[in-house]
Amino acid sequence: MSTDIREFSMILCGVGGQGTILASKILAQTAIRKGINCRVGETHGMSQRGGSVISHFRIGSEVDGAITPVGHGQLMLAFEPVESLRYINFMKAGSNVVLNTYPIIPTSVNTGLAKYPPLEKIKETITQYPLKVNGFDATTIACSLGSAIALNMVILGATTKLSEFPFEADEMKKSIEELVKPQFIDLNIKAFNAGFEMA
Amino acid sequence: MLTDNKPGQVELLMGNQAVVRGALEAGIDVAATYPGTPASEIGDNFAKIAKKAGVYFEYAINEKIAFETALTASWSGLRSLVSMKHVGLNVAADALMSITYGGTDGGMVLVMGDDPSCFSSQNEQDSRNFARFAQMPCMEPCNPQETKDMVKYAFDLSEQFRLPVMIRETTRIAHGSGNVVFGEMAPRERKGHFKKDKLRKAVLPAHAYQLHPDLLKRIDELAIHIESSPWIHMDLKGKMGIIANGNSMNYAKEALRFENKQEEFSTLHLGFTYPLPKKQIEAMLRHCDEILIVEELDAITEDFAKKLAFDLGISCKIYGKDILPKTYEFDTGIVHSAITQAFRLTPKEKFSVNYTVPQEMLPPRYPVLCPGCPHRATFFAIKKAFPKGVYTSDIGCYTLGIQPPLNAVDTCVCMGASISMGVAFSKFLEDQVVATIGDSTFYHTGIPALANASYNGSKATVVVMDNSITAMTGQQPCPSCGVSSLGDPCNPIYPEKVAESLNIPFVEVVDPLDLNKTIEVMKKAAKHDDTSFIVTRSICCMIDKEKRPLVEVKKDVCIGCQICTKTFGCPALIWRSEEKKVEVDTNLCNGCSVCIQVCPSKAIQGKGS
Ligand SMILES: Cc1ncc(C[n+]2csc(CCOP(=O)(O)OP(=O)(O)O)c2C)c(N)n1
Ligand code: SF4
Ligand code: SF4
Ligand code: SF4
Repeated sequence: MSTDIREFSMILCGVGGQGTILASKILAQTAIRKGINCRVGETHGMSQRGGSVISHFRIGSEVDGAITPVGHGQLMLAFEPVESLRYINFMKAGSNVVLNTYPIIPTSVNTGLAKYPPLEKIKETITQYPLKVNGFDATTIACSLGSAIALNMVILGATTKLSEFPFEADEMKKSIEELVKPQFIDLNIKAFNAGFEMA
Repeated sequence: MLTDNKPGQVELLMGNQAVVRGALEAGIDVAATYPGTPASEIGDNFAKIAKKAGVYFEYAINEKIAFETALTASWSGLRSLVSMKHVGLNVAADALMSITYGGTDGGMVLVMGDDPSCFSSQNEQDSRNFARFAQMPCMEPCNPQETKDMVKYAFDLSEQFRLPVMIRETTRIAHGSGNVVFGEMAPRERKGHFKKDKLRKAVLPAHAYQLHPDLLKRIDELAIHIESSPWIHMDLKGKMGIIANGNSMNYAKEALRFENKQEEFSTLHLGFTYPLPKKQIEAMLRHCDEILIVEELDAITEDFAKKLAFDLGISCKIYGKDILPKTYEFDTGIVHSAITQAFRLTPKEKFSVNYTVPQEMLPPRYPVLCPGCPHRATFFAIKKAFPKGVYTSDIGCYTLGIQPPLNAVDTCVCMGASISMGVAFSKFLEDQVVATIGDSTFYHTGIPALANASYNGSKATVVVMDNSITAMTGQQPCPSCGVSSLGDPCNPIYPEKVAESLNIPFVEVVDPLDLNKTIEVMKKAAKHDDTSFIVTRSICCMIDKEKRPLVEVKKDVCIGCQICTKTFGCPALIWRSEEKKVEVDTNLCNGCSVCIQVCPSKAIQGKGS
């Protein structure tokens, strides 16, 4: 895709501490390097403490606000299964969801106040919306490479394979190299590649 | 990157970083803040670049002191910026309300982080009221580029009108990122110089009396000045009109674009919201048959426009808060529906979906204390020693002690109130009262309350949960942590020393990760019937990231009693309902070992032991 995008909006959601912020920064850095108008809207503060978080990444000549209008998200990166459902209303019917299938059990479930739904039910609910699910266990892949922290890169890698995604793999890797601390570049690029080859 | 002197360079900046860049381009000398979401990253970025850029920066102990530091810089002829979250200005208001009379010297900019929808705040107060209340200009950017350019402009405006200039960000502006084209960095060659002027700088009753009319005169001149400033964009087209400030205009523009109605609407985009541009609002009122005013929170522009229409006898129909909510932030969908409703349009585009996720699919996920957070252990000990206590608390990570299973926070009002209210409750109730307060909050406004406890008497137990950092807002240093605002080592100021010097009779320090010891100290305090003061000191695990040896649950020993998950609740302890056993998530556990002390069956043990 070239620089004449009018409006393309992505939702990144998950749990505070999973690295959605860095992932959206990498997307934005890539857009800026390509001279594309972009906006990122993030959750900071209280919810970063293990709460539910969402980042909006929007590009295009017709984008002004940092928040995706309800029903207009064209691609969702869900870092945690139930979090995909919490923000599903932002999505346009028929879009893709890249879903990390590894759950993080909220305290409400551990303390017996709520139940965590089975993964198959979560996928079914997403499909009914209707959205397309691309599910895989990104956390375990990241752990096998050395650290669960790299899960955001695995997800970005898998996303880059999708045809509607506006950037190329080498453009994304360049941004990773620019934004990640030098000692973690290797791990992050490996994780990105693993996600890319997976998808 | 923020300090690069490369005009024309395009970078991705968050609104709060754009504030810092704008200040550098204006040649700022002094910056001060007390952290608070959504404004925290302004200070954090100043802390990073201060040495390199030669800017004096400090994390002050509270907003009032930050404000007075910036004011003093201004009265030294220097350019200064002070930033805080909206409620911070309640603390700094005492200084602000009087200094607009005498006015500033060097350019002074006050950046406010408002928080419609209360993402991280105790209320939704709208800082535009303060601008009007104190009589100072208020500007509102709509994206990072505008934020940078506005901050730079604000310094000149401040010097021209001898007033601090408020830049009002909302959470979306402060935390929204986008492309920013850099301008030139200004050289900084100012030296501090104080011009004596008793009339202006000592606001005695007689002086204030004399200065008030002059302040109003400056505001009148300012109101005319801003009409020709680059921050008021009027586009007269059709007979339907929209007036909006800051981010609201982004939503309005997107809504019109989705409906392909850009050509049928006249728009007025307000970069100034105090004073408001009378000339352009009048022009809109005369040109349009109907106008919708789009502003988050209070009806400030709407009230002004309605009064103006009344005074001028213009019959333009004005919509605003009759259609749009007075609460919470807007989005494109909300503004779109207000536009279609006000102007009776048949919408082409939809901003709602006919799909509801069943409630049982959405287990709540509230923010929680991190795995291994020392606060959890402190609360657990408090609940053991004071099972029926009244728990006054304060603002910080530890406010999360309100969540089940801890349920150890009953009140939270504003910073410092845990101590003052705990002390007062201890006199008005028969119950035992425990006040919990973080170290940063203790220095912010807790100390006067503790002095009051000592002076006026109390039976409360005050617990300073000293994690040696300002954690909630992003781990900024504070007096207890032994690190200066710029990250250099310095002598920590210990809360227990403060308490001793205030004649508090019972003062103890304990490591909360040693749970039994902590419970013992708490029980001792419970028996004490004067003010007792306990410091639970253990560093925030976001700072001390070194992983300690992890723990595991011996499945054959675990009896499934759920005491660990239902009374302590570390998020790394996972209840496996199929097996009726608890398991440790090794990705989350940080090895604090407190759960080992919580499990009565000794099922939790060091990994591999
Ligand atoms: C007047 C005011 N200023 C700033 C804030 C933002 N704020 C919320 S919590 C907090 C600091 C908490 O630090 P501390 O008391 O050390 O507790 P911790 O988060 O470290 O547990 C701040 C500054 C606020 N809520 N009110
Ligand atoms: S950031 Fe620090 S103080 Fe806050 S919850 Fe986590 S460990 Fe506790
Ligand atoms: S407290 Fe101990 S025995 Fe009880 S469920 Fe937890 S680990 Fe098992
Ligand atoms: S040692 Fe226990 S309490 Fe501490 S982080 Fe690990 S599981 Fe949680």
